[in-house]
Amino acid sequence: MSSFYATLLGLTIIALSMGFISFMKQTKLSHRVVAIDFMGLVSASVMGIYCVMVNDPIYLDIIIVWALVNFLGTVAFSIYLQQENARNKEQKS
Amino acid sequence: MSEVITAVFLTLGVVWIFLAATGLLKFKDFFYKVHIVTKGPSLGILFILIGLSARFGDPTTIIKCLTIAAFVFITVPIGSSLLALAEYENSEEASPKTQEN
Repeated sequence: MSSFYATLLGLTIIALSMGFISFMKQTKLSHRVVAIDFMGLVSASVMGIYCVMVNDPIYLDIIIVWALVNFLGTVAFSIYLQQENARNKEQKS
Repeated sequence: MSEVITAVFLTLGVVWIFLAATGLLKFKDFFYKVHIVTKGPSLGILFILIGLSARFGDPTTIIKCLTIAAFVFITVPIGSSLLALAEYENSEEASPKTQEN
């Protein structure tokens, strides 16, 4: 059964690296922020599957904190994007 | 029995996350990307948490899983709508493959 969970963990890590490929391929900042958000969510699920694999529920606390940090990062990036858009519009006008 | 439930729900969650990763690589428009990145992994994390609480089964773990699910389902739409708002205010032209209804 443990090898089955290890296979699922490997598939999730492949999804994580697909998010990283999408992060590296983009040229615009907003697309990269979307990829970062995706990678944060997938890392949370990696922690969940690892929690089942090693049979130890202590990693759930890490998922709570990680979800909070991921949300704060996304909000900070979006506020920064809005400020940058406002600055660009002022320079154009 | 709980092992079987755990395996089924974990597989479902991994399938959803993998579909979301494929969509992130395939879609070129920003709003399509926000859409797929928000909905796929949210459902995947929900399935993984259901499998996790079926695996352990004690009340502390189930309450923690419920907390994480509620937190993810509150914060992920807020973050994605903020991102979409920032991109919409920027309002450059959409990707040429985007079709309007």
